Amino acid sequence: MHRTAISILIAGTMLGLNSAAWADEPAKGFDPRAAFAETDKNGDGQIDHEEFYERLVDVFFSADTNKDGFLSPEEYQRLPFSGAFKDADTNGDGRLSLPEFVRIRFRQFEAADSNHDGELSLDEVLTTYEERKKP
Amino acid sequence: MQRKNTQLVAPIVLLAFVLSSCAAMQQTYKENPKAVLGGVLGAGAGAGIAALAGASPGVIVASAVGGALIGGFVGKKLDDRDKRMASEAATRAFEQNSTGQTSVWNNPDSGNSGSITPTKTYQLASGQYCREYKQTIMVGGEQHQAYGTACRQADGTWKIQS
Repeated sequence: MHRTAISILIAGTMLGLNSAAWADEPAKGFDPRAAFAETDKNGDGQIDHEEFYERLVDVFFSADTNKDGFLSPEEYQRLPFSGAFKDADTNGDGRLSLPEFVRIRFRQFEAADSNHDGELSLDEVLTTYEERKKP
Repeated sequence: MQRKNTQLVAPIVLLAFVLSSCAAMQQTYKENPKAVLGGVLGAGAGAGIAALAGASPGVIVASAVGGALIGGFVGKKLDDRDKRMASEAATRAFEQNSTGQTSVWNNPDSGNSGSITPTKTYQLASGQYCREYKQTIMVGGEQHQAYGTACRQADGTWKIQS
């Protein structure tokens, strides 16, 4: 998984920004530390699966502009670094369900989890984010 | 104590139904009695937010938010503009806010104000969105809080579930 994509995923996911904001300027004004703190709801210094999942649902809800319960290719592509729609649309029905969205995003979570402890630390997030900023 | 609360709740709920002529509101209570009773019991001192009385059908239709949003003693202390502003804030919060993002309302004429914050978003198997929320209302200088869940209906309105 491309580290840049992961960085933005985590950044956007933790920020809970709306999809339009991501699409226009995904990293502008982004404070990864603040975003981390916002997502780390229990304040233990780690983003666990549950916290990440809750944020994903929020992202999905925001991206689903017509609120039909699914992401169309257009809605999905508004998310930065979303990748190929067909890769996420595992059942090939032309729309993304929440489980499909969560599945592909958790793959990215695992890729960012460099020590494979099942959680994202601030260091892991910052490292990924710094790599994103490199030319 | 529980018996005392029960004795208190019964007339409150009855009053709620007497005051409410909106069938939709009555239906909401029938579907979600726990929300109504929970709101009344939880607020203490006879002051409940989640009971059904107080919100006019017109407000509910206009705001597309269920009648269980504001009611009971708190609802009766709010004027129509308060209720409309509260319902509009709730609709905005449910439809647009990220989890943790608060929508506020403030009526300078009445001095009353409030806020509503989605605290969790989830999706049912049907694809329907539901959002848990926290609501705070400042009325007459007193702060009242309530918690509940609203689910988005097929027609785009949000209905209070609990």
